[in-house]
Amino acid sequence: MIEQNKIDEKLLAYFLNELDDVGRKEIEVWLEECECNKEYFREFQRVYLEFQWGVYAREVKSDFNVVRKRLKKQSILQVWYGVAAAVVILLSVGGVLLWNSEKVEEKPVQVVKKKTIQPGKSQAILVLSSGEEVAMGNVAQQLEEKDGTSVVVSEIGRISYEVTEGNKMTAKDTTKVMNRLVIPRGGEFNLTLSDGTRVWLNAETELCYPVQFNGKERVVYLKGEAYFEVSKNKKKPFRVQVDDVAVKVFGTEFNVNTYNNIETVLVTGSVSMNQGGKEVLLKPNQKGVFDQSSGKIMVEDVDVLAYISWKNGDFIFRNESLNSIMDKLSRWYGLEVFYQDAELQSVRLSGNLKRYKDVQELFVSFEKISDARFEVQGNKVIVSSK
Amino acid sequence: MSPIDQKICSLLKVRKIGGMELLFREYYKPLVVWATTFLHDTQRAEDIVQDFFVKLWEKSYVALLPETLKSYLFISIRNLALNQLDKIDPLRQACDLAYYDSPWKEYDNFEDEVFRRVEEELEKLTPRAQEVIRSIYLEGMKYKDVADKLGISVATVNSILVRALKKLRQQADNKDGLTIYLFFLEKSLISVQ
Repeated sequence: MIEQNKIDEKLLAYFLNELDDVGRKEIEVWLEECECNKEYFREFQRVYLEFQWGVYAREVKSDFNVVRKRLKKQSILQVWYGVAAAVVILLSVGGVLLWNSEKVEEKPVQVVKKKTIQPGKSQAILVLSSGEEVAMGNVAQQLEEKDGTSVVVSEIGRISYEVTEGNKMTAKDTTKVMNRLVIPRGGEFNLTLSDGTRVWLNAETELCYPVQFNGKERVVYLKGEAYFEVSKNKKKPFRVQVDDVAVKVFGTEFNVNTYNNIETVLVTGSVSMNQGGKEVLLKPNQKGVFDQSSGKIMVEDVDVLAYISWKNGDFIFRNESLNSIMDKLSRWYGLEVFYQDAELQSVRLSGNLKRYKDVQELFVSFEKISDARFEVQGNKVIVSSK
Repeated sequence: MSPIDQKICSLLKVRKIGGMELLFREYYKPLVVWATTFLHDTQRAEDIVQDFFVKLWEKSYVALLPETLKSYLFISIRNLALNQLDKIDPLRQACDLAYYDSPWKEYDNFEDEVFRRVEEELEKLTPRAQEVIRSIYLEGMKYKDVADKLGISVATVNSILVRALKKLRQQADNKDGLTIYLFFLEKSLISVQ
C-alpha cells in the first residue's frame, strides 16, 4: 500500500499543479501503462473534486436576502419607468388611462380596471372525441379518452398525451380518436402530442390531431399559427395539413401560420410544402408562402426570429406594415383597430414588445418614430395621422 | 426534470419573486461551488452567481424551460466563470478547457448528501490539517508557501492532504458499496504483483 500512497501523492500534486514537467510526464507514462491506472485516475479525480467541493461549500453563505435586496432595487427602477411611461401616455391620449405595474406587486395594480388593455393568457378549449368541451386554464387535471389514452393537463397550461402499453393500438387498428384544441383570441397554449412532438399554439388557432398516431403517417390539421418541434421518427413522417396544402416534415422545428396566406418558416431540419402535386423544399431560415390567387408557393430568405418570437413571449417586428403589426397585437390583446387614415396601414415599422407587457408602451414608441397617433378607448384603438 | 424545476419556471414566468427564492434555495450553493471549481475564489464565485440571478430576473423574456433549467444554469455559470478566468489569467491555454469540461459529468450527479458528507469529514480533521486545506483550496497557496507559513516540510503538507483525501475516499467506499470495494481489492492485488 506504500505504493498507492506514493501514487496518490503524485496525483494530488498533479491536480494542484505542483508538478514540474518531469513529474507530469511521469504521470502520463503511468496512465498509459494499463487501463486500470486510468480507471484509478478517474476515481481519484472524482474524490479529489468532491473534496474540493466540500471545502468550498463550507464557505458559501446562503442568504437569499442579499439577492432579494438587489432584485427589489431593480423593481423600484421599473416602477419609475412605469410612472414615466404613464405620464407620457396621459399627455398624449388626454387622461384616459392607467398602467399595469405587475413588476412591483405580485398582483397587477390597475388604476381603472375596465379600461386596461389586458394581454392574453394561457387558455384553450379541448374538444374530446365525444364532443365534450373542457376549458383549459391553470388547473391541473387528468382526463381519459375512450381508447384509454390519458390526457394530462398541468397547472402551467400544458397538455400531454400518455399512452400506456396496455392500450397501445396496433397499426392495423383503424379507428382514430381525434381531439381538437381551440385557442381563442387572447390565448396561447402548449401541447405535447403522444409521439413527443411539442406544439406551441398562438391565439385564434385550432389544431386537430389523433390522440395516438397509429397510421403510416402522423397527420395533424391546423388553422391559425403554431410552432412545431417534431420528434424524430423516420418510419412515420409528420405532416401538417392546412386546407389542401401539406407541410411535410423530416424531424424539425418550424412555424406554420395560416392567418392570411399559408406560410411556413423553417428553423432547423427540413420541410416541404405540397399542394396539388407541387412540392417545394424549404431550407432553414426560409419562408414558404402559398399564394391562393396564383396557386404558387413562393420561397424567400427571412430572419426567423421575427416569426417565432411569439413562442418565447415576445413580439418582434422588423420593417413590418402597421396593418400586419396591429393584426398580431389584436389577436393577443383583443383589440379592435380603426384607421382614420387608410394610408397608415402600409407604414412600415420596427419594434419589440414582451407579450405580457402593456401594449401602449409600443404605441408610445411608434408615435415617436412615425406620423401615426394611437388613441385608446377601452379595447378600441384609433389610429390617426399627427 | 424535477417538480421543483417546473415550479421555479412557472413562478418566474409570471414574475413571482418566490420563483427567485426557490431558485436560490435549490441552486445557489451548488452554483457557487461549481463556479469556484474554475475560479478557486469563493467570493468571486458568489459575485458571479448573484449577478447572474439578478440578470435572470431582469430579462424575463428568456423563457426558461424546466427540462433544461439545470443544464442552462450550470453551463451559463461555467462560461461566466471561464470568462472571468480569462480576465485574471489571459495566458490560460485552450487545452485547459478540456480539463474543465470533465468535472461537469461528476457534478451532474453530485448530491447535496455529498456536500454534507465531506463537510462532516472536514470537521473531524485536526486544526493543522484544516489550516493546510484552507490555504491550498481557498487561498490557492502553493505547497511551499503553506510549508513556510506553518513551519513544516513540503512533504508533510502533501501527506496531510493525501491522508484527508484517503479518509474521504474510504468513507465514500463504505457508502458506495461492493463495486468500489471490488475495484480496490483488484487494485491492491495488482500492486502486490
